[in-house]
Amino acid sequence: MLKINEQITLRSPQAKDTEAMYQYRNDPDIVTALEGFSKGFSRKDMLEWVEKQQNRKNDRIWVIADADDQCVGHCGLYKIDSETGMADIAVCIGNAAFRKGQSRAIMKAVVNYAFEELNLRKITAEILDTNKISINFTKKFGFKEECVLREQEYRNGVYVDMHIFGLFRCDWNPDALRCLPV
Amino acid sequence: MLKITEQIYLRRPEPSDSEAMHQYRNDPEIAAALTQFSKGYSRNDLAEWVERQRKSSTDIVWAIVDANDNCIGHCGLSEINSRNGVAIVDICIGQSAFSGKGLGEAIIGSVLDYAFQQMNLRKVRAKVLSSNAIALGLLRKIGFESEGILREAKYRNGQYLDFHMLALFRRNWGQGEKPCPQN
Amino acid sequence: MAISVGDLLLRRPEPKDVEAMYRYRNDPEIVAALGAFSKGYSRSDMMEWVERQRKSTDDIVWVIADAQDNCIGHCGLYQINSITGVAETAICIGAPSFRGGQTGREVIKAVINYAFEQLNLRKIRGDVLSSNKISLSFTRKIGFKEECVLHEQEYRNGQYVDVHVFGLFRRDWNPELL
Repeated sequence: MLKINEQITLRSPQAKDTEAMYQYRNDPDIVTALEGFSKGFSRKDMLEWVEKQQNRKNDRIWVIADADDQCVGHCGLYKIDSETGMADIAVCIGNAAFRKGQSRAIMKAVVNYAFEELNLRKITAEILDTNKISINFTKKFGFKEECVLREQEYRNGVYVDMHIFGLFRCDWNPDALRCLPV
Repeated sequence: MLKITEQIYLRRPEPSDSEAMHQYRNDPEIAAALTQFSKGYSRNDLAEWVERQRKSSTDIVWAIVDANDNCIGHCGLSEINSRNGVAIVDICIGQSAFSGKGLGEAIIGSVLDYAFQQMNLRKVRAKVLSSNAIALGLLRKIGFESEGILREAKYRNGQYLDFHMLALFRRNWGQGEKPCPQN
Repeated sequence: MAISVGDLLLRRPEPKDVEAMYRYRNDPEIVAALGAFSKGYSRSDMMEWVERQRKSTDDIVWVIADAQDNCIGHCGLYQINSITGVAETAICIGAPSFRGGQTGREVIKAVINYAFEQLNLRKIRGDVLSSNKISLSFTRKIGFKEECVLHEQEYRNGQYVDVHVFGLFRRDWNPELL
């Protein structure tokens, strides 16, 4: 469990989170921005997902919980590879108000965890070209664009480029972010 | 069974190929060029890999065999996503006697043909270690273009190596574009 | 994702939908129109069906849910083949108050849009029994073209019935006209 501030805690997914996840993970506005495609989730799908998180060796996923311990999103590290010292990062905030106010704090916590706790060397992020907000945020955060997979994913009738960003531990300076506006 | 030359064919892998694979996939020189890191493969690992490929819905692997049906390498498509119309091409020629004769180009050509003409894909990608100049040169010759470099993505022989990401669209392979909504 | 269709929502089937489905899928009037023959469904059959759909990689089925989230029917894409870019579509409206109006048209429009815009398919097929006049006229109206007739293909109520096979290409799809 990681307490980020008075409003946000990162903790392990629990059965009680399934209803909230069911709502935002079926919301077209949220879903089309994500790099992974899904045909939609039933409540049982969400429950199974929560249960699977207990046993996943190469992922470390947290639920983003508000001050009342309600799930407002999820985030974490995927495909953690200790041999290469790399992982993919992803953040999905289901609640618009939290997305505006807490994205940076959440991202910082996950990135810190990757470098300080897991001793990783590099974090990558895959973002669809249509998700401009996320692209700008990721760049501002310090990630560098490494690849553009052209016309890689199919969404809403068009082929969309996928940007791959990378952040090395040696370029990570959490102190530098304290001065930047949220 | 797909004929590449009089001497070389592609067919689905069999358990009997694991012995040959065990040889070349544990050969340091060959392993050095491959993008996957491995702590080495046992015969069981390879037998399991053959079986996994048999059942996979996202990968297709072929054994590259000589005129005596001996496995001298493997190739195929991985991470096949038909909805997006994309896959990654892989090739590994296990015996040095067969390299440098244009075989790699012919085999990749066959795999691409299968990807575009049979799987109806739209884009084939390749991931190559930046140190693998031969593969990079070959792919560029075929028409692959760079999409970027995944920096320091692998650790090999004491150093970090970059992955070069390349891709070839069907429209540049000369077969015409898969019907696209805007067209 | 869940798909909004006016006041209705197309969403994934849940165990709580079983009761409603059990009723309308055993209703003779509704069943007579459906392409697939069935010896009747028990609640267990319906429960199994919901679970099978959850895991299926060849089909995507949605429950049509009203404003109270009650199941009033179902629809979907079947035998989805991404290599050929083809899937079959079907719709079944179980609640009488929703039959015969614009609901069917709006739901199928949404399903077809999803097939083209999200699944990147190229062609949708639909099979309709010759005895189902309403469905035949509806299918033609939304733009499907008849490709062939399978004569005396099905057996219903003591008679052999033709199956009309329809197809709709993405290039011919114009939801604005509907």
